[in-house]
Amino acid sequence: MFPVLLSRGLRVCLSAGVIGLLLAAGLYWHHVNTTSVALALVLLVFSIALLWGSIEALIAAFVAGLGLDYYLLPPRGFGLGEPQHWLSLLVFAATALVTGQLSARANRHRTEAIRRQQEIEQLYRITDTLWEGENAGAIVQKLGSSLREILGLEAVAVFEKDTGRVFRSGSGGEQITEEHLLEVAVSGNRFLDAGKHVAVEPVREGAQFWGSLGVAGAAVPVRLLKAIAERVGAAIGKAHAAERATAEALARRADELKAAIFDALAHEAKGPLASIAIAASALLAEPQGSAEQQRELLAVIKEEAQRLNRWIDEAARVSRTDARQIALDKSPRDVRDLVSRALEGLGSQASGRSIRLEIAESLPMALCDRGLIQKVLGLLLDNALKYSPAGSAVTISAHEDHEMEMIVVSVSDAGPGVPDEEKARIFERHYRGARHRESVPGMGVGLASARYLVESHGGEIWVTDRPGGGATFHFTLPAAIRARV
Amino acid sequence: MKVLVVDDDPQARRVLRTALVIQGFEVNDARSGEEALEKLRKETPDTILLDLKMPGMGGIDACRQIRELSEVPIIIVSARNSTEDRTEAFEAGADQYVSKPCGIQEIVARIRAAKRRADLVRSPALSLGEVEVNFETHEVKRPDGTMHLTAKEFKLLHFLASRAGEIVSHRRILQAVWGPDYGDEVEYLRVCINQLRKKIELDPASPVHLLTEPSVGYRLSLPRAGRSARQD
Repeated sequence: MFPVLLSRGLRVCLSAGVIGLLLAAGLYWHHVNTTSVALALVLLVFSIALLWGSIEALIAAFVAGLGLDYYLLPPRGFGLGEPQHWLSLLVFAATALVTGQLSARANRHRTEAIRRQQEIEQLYRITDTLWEGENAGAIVQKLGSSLREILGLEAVAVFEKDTGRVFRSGSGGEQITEEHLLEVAVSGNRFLDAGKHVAVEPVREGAQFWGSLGVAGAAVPVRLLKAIAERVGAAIGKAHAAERATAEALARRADELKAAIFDALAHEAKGPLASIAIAASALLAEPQGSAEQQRELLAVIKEEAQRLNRWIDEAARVSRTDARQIALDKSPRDVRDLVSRALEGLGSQASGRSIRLEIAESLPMALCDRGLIQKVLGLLLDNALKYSPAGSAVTISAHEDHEMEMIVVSVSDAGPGVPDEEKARIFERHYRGARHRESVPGMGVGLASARYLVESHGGEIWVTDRPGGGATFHFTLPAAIRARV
Repeated sequence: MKVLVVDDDPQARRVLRTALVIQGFEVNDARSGEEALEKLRKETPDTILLDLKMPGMGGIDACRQIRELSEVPIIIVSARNSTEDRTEAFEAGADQYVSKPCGIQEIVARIRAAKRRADLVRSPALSLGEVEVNFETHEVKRPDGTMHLTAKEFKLLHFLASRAGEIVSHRRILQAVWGPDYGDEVEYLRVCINQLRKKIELDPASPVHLLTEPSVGYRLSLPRAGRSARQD
């Protein structure tokens, strides 16, 4: 366009040349009368105002008005005493001013619209990746690279008020000081240092202040920064909501689990009670049996009373535990040690059974609560022994998943296996496999409890088919050496 | 008298074995339904005591499979005591249901009752007061003459006699007498029961032996020695 191509001097020369030509045409070309020249001059001033703005148009109007007055309006020469001369000069000046203002305003609007469109495009590109429901750290990583690339920034920082942590991305971030981030997060007022190109914007979602967003290294339009901060606020809010939902789901499952454990305890207590009742009634009935038979019945009563006592202790322990706050005493544990303790806990149930261990020598420690993970192992071993034929082996294996930084522990048996349609559901509370619905005490509770305990450690539990028949239960635990505690 | 105890809990097997031996029974045991079926193929006991909760096939499946092999009386001994559990057990072919905890006397009484019924079915004749049914000739001797039972009527009476005194559901009877594909055809049963009443009841309009248990099933009531049938 002309405004960019021509300097002001050139524009003035060009305008003067055209005015001269028009006046010469009025003077020497008899087909052109004074009115035509005046109209052509008004058109010229109008065009100059549109193209170049008010100042150029005013100069042109002045030159054109004087030229018209001097050469074409009678009497020849400057007749400024005449009102018509003043009038023509005023018309020229007014045309230049009005048109120039209108044109300037239109230009401003157009430039503004282009700038806004660019900002929206930038905002879209910057925040497009922020909707994954991640924490502030992940948001800064994503935001940092896109802001540096799109806006040419050097550093980005996000301060999260809840955790008091500052997440930074890029170099030269020391210009965004923690004091500024904290102050903005608390006061909710923007901080700007135009000289150093540093800006800190509060991060909020509605009335909720989540923290602050700082940028450094380039001037970012305030409106764009505010919009980015709003998107960051929404993303952090979403991440918080997701965290809350997970915590609530875990708490709900813990409550369900507690109820299920109580159901199971009440039910399982009937076993020893029934044996005691039969033994006692047999001792009271006629015939009385031999002294040896009587001793056998008394021994059953004694042992079953002890078993009952263990159940009651367990029930009391469960009732004391607030299921929402099952505190995990996590520390690095040797998987071999966990397995041998779990096997000890099984007692006579494992005697006479072949149990194979396949645990890698280089296996790192598992970060877990020993007592709780022993329970999980004990439960899976108990299931494997119950469901598999007496002569078959049960295999316990453990290896490290390097990519996930997790330890995978597996327990395999040669039992009937788990049908595909039941593989996911057997970990639900109260669910028992169709095949075993009537048969195994507390199994549904057991696996639901194992899932809860494993998930509390940040692990997963699942079941697959064992090659050659049977089931393999797997669960994962964080590996201790690389785990971030 | 031989009893097979089927329970996965070693303590339950131990106490039942000792207590039943003292009571004069010969006891064998199995820790699962699978093992029980295996033992049953070698030797038939007089009664089976069966737990419902067992790993592997479980009590209900075991009951069903034992019933396919043999008519041996099955007594369920279980800690579960809901109506659903009982119904399912009876439909699977159980004869008796004892809920834990219970005394040894109750178990012994159930074993003896089951044995009596089994003996009754094995005997050649069934006495219903003044009416006498001969299981070998399918003849019914009444004070007013002799009648003959059809094959279906005989099968129905024989099946109810094997569970004498017990309420037997429509479905269970239909499956045992008509076949495993039947279960909902209560009309067939009703017609057959009416025919049977005309032959074994002195007054078919007010039966004293072949009793209706409203909306559940039927019960065969046997007269006891020294007592009238009505008092049973």
